[in-house]
Amino acid sequence: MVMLQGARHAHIAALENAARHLKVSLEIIELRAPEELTTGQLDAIVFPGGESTTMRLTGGIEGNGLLPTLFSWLRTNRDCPVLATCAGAILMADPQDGGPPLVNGEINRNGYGSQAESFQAELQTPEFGGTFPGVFIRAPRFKSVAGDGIGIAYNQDEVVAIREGCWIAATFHPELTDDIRFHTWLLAQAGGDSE
Amino acid sequence: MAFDMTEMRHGTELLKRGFAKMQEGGVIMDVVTPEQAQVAEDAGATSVMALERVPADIRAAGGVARMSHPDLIKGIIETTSIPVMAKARIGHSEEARVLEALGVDMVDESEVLTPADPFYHIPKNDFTIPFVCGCTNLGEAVRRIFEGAAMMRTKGEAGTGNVVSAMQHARLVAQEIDWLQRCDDEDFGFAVEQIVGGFMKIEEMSEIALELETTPFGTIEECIEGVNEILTQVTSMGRLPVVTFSAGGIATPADAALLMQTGMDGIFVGSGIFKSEDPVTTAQAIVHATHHFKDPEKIAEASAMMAAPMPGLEIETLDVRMENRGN
Repeated sequence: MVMLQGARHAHIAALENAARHLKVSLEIIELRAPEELTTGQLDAIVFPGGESTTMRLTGGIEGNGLLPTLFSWLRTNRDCPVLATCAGAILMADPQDGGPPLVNGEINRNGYGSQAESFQAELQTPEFGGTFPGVFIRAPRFKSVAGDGIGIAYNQDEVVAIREGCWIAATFHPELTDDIRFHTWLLAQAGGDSE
Repeated sequence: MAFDMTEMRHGTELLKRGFAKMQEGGVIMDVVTPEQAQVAEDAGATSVMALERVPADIRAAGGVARMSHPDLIKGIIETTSIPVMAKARIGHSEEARVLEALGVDMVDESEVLTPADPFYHIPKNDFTIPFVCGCTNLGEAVRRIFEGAAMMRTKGEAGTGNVVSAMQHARLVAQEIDWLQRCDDEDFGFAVEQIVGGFMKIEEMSEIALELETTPFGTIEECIEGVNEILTQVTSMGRLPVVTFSAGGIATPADAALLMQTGMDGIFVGSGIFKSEDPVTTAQAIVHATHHFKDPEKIAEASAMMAAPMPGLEIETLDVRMENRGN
């Protein structure tokens, strides 16, 4: 769990529910500083939502350097599944560490407007069995999908989640709903689908 | 791209409380100009609170403190990319409507401004945007959540640079939650009754022994039911069901870390940034300490980053105790 800032506890609760559902054990490792990346054995990574400007400052090169270290690590560990939501999706699509994006799609911060424009809508998620409750909070907005990115969630015609290999960047918040399919997917990808 | 708006729901409780969750672990800073908003954003603030004067100056000026001028709030909204909050007077629904129309992301129904309604807070469920409210104890917090607050903060004593009140409020809420988890049904029922009593203060002012049946938030029966439900949830969660920040008197990185250690989800800094000797480094230092609140070396590092904090005030010497407003 990237612990820089934001809705970390909602993700932890969703992961716990998903682990119970899959009957697997779960250990949360809190990533606050680059050292913690090498001390723990990571099977999957969650980038929570929050304020991307804050995360870039506290985790960027001028902060403690967690983000550039993590992005480099991911580029050489492409089989480590990632679930990135909202601000996390911004970081994956636009890492700003000098390297290529981790998920190929052009993304705009705060693409819908102020909090009054935050919304819930039913999404089309063919890979996740039909529909999914979308919760968008001052959400970013994908303008395009490129490279190996595949659109996996749609709000009407607009792509709102991109999967690239086993990395998902979603502009909405599955962790704020009772629907644990994205978190179950993450744990299953991590090899935790059975004991 | 045109959206079918009928398929989209706005202003739900999930969206309001979700907005507050995105602030977790963050620092929200009071700013009075677009330039200050930029300083806050560049230092890593998760939101700014737009107002005309910081609490220390409101305290010094005296008189009635009201909502800020719309041009000031708009100027700050246009400058910054992070969320913008603004303060409305306690019970002043119309100020809150103005703030909502201006496009602020969250309203702080704040005791720092002069209260407008002596009996009732704003019915916050009627709004699309979320509210944060202050509390000094669990009862106030539960009333505000029942009224629709999506986020809580300690009141502390704003504009003093003195954390003692913020600590008092954080400790009291935590101990009262602990008590609820241990107490029997009779004590629990007493708590519900006392908390609902807070909605009925208008009865005390009546010459003709008014018996209250309804409030702006529902009938008394609905209040009892709602308060009971929230208290039950608090008891099972062992915390408030909404994100809870500390506010009021935080002036140093160590202050921020101290409040975070009591279990607060984040920090509001009012006068503490822009009344300090060097606001830029103070802002960075408080963000740094809030992020690393478990690491004393990092808090030492943060403490060394900044120049002199704002001057402080002894609570006992104050003419106005903002924390006593609107409970």
